Amino acid sequence: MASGKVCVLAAVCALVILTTLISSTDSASCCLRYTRRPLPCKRLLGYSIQTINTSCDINAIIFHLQGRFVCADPSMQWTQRAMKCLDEMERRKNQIIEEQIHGNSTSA
Amino acid sequence: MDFSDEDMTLNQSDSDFNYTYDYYDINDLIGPCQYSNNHSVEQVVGPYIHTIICILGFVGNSLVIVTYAFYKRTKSMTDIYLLNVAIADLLFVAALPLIVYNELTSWSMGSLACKLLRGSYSVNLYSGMLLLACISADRYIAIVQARRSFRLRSLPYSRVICTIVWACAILLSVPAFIYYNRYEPTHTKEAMMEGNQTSLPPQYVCEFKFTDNSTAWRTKVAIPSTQLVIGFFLPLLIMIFCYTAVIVTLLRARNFQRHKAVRVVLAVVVVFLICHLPYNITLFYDTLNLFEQHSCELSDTVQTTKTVTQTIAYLHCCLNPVLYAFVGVKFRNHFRRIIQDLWCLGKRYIAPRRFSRATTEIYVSTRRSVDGSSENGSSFTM
Repeated sequence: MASGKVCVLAAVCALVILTTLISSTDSASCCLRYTRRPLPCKRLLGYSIQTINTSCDINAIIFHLQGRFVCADPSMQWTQRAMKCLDEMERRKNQIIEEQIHGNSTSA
Repeated sequence: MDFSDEDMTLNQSDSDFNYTYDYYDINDLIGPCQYSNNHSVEQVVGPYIHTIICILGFVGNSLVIVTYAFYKRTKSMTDIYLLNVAIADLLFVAALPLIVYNELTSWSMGSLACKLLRGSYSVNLYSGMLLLACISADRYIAIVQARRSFRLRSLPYSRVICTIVWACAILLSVPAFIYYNRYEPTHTKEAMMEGNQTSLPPQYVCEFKFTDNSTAWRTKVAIPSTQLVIGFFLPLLIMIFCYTAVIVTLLRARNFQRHKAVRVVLAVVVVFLICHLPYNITLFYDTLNLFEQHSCELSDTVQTTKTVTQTIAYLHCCLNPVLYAFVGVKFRNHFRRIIQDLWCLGKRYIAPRRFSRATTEIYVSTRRSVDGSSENGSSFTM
């Protein structure tokens, strides 16, 4: 009876190991420090906001560049300027896309 | 994907801006920390050692529970505590493979599993630690305050204490139940939207999530602090006080088994310290430096240390059955009876159970009289 239980458990654990080896995922990564050097808006693709409300322990703005992320101090002037600039770019892009979709649907 | 067309246009329009990385040193740019060391440790060492801990912990603690549930009629106060420690440890080793599995598969079992597993981990941590403190207090009363022990060590009393311990453990774990949530970290989601990485499934984590900054700030300090104080220092202080008094009393007594008893007590304390001290030091250091800027390397080292020392702390739940239950002569006799009964059951399918019971009863009683070990000393004698 006991050995049966042990066998079942061993099988379950073996399964866990197997699934472990097959799938490998990353958990959340956080900004721990800020980049000192300001980034020009034209190099940025977007941004996301890291707050201490999640598992991360400092507030930060994460700028998206081609192929990488950069951490910035939310209290810095250049960070706020870059965010505004990106918001503006996003708004204009959405406007263009909307116009295109609208134009297509009316022509069709 | 629905966004593919949109992504294409976005990327094209972005590439119209002239990118010049030349005058920007790429090393100046600090990105989110990937915790690469910690991940490799978690992925390679974690599951293997956790599997061993699970198997050993499951076997040891279920043997303790089975022995108490089916073969032990006269339960003492110590027995009640040992049974409860075994239950807490068993619940812990049952939750452990599920936690490991979920951490490696981006919490595929859902948000309720996230809350329940993190919560039960916390409940079992607190109840286990507080019960070990209760056991040390029980032994202190039995040996040092022997005159009062008849009044203080009654069965209803111990049931009340165990209920209080479990209630405290559940109350202390309420923040864990509330604030652990399964969610998707924001920037990984947006990285996918931009199409830099080819379509990955959503990556969920089960971590703290709060609604406002002040709650986040308070809870992130309060949870590890409570764990340090009530889950480590309080039991440690109680154990050190009680067992020091026990050892002093034992060394004064003229019992030929006292050296064995002292050795058992020392083993209990030393194993507790080896298992829990490194993790709690790391946790303390981590909590002190919360909300400050760190280098990725340092933080990665701290997290790796935390992972390793936490695994050492987990090991304690497989050592408890050996240190507390199997060390006792009485317990081992009961356990022997189980093995004998199982042996008989295996030998003859429908064995005359009453007969085997009767013989083992005699066997135990003769042994007990030969031993001459009292109720108090039995949990120590090796």
